[in-house]
Amino acid sequence: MRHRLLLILFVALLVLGHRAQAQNHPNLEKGFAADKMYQFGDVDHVNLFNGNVALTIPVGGSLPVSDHLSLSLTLVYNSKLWQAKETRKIIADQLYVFSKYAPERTSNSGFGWTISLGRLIDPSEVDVNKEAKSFLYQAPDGSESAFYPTLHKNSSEPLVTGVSDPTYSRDNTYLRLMQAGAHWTLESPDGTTREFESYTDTYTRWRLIQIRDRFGNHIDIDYSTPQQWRITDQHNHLTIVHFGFHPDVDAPYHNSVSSIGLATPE
Amino acid sequence: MKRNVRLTALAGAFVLLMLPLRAAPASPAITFESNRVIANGFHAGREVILFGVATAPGPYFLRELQYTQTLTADANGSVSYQIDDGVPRRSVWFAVDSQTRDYAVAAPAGSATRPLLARPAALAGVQGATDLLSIDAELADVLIVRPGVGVWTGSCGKNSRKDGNRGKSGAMQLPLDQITSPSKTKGHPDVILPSDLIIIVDGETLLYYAGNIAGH
Repeated sequence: MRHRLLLILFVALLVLGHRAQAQNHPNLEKGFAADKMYQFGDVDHVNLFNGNVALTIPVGGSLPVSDHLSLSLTLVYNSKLWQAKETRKIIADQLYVFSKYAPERTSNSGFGWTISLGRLIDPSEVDVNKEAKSFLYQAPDGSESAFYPTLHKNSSEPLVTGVSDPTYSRDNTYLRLMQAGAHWTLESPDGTTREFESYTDTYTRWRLIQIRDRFGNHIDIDYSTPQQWRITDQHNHLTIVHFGFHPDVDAPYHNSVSSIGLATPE
Repeated sequence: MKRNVRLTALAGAFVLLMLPLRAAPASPAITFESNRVIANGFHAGREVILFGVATAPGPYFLRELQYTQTLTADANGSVSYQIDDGVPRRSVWFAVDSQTRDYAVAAPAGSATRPLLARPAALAGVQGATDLLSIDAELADVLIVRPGVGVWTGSCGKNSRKDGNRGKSGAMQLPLDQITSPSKTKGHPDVILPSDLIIIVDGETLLYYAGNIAGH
């Protein structure tokens, strides 16, 4: 009898676990998640399920802004470099299906390498949004979270009062995405808020303009200087990420990080 | 004799009266229902090529869709095409008269038509090979309509196996022997003619070019 109960519990855990991961296929996951198995090295960790090799190299250490907020840039590599796509051609009522793989497009520091403070990906950005169903948040380590109208599947939790149409991640990151006027804000469980503004190239895209904590401390990112991210904290420490133009590679990779001018802590 | 003249006059008047009913149709246009694409403004009985390119969510990956249908306009000059899964919200559609190459382009509500792809160039094939279309895009879904002769369709990705310029800098080059006929016409075109309507859609961005090789 006890064995049967244990078996039922085990099966239930398996089913629940599968549902929790359903929005981001385990075969495709990048970055790091606290509830997954990894083999750790000095700067690398290997996802033991899908074999993704991730390297995380801190750039210049951490610049404290407050007790709760600091600026730290990391150069991250993920070995999941290819993005699957399916082409369906319906020609004279005959269906032809092809699969293809294209190089992933979120790298900004060489193929597979990224420096980021977090990126919000619009559903219409079909070059980088794998599913094109909902917003994705790509964390600095390359992991991605999709957003849904409720925190849990098949539930109808009451909306948080005073907040219009929030959406939630369902991958144990507990992120909340909300529209604030023309901007989107992303709230983390520790109270950190990231604010994104839109800009347009071929697609409508979003870029991070501010990271702030619950106490008003903030880091601001300015894009008005071409080919630069100018990152300033409330103490006027300035970090500049410089981009170089490389016309000899395919268009999605023309711009990549060339150097970083680090702020000096006082 | 008098009776014959009267009959002829009557027949002439009848023909004149009927002429407005057979007037040339209005310009082609495309409208959308939730799971139907409707094109109208064509001559009754005329073959109309419906060409659509779309992206839609797939399970864990993006799905790129291409539709090519040859339809016959009904008595009202309309054709319609049903898509059971619904018309993809992010799509662009062309309806082309196969005889005159008159065409309409439209996108469903919430999507935009963006004719921003550069005009392609025709490159001469070497050593008896077919000509090539030089296309400055990452992905290209191509439709060629040669009025009264045939319709061909194909697709190519930059640096893919079909790309004649694979591994080199510059625009992709799609050999015309990689473009095939969807229905009645056979084979592939060997050269591009000034009368050909060329429609090229980037299957990812949905930017497009529509016109002839000279840009008209």
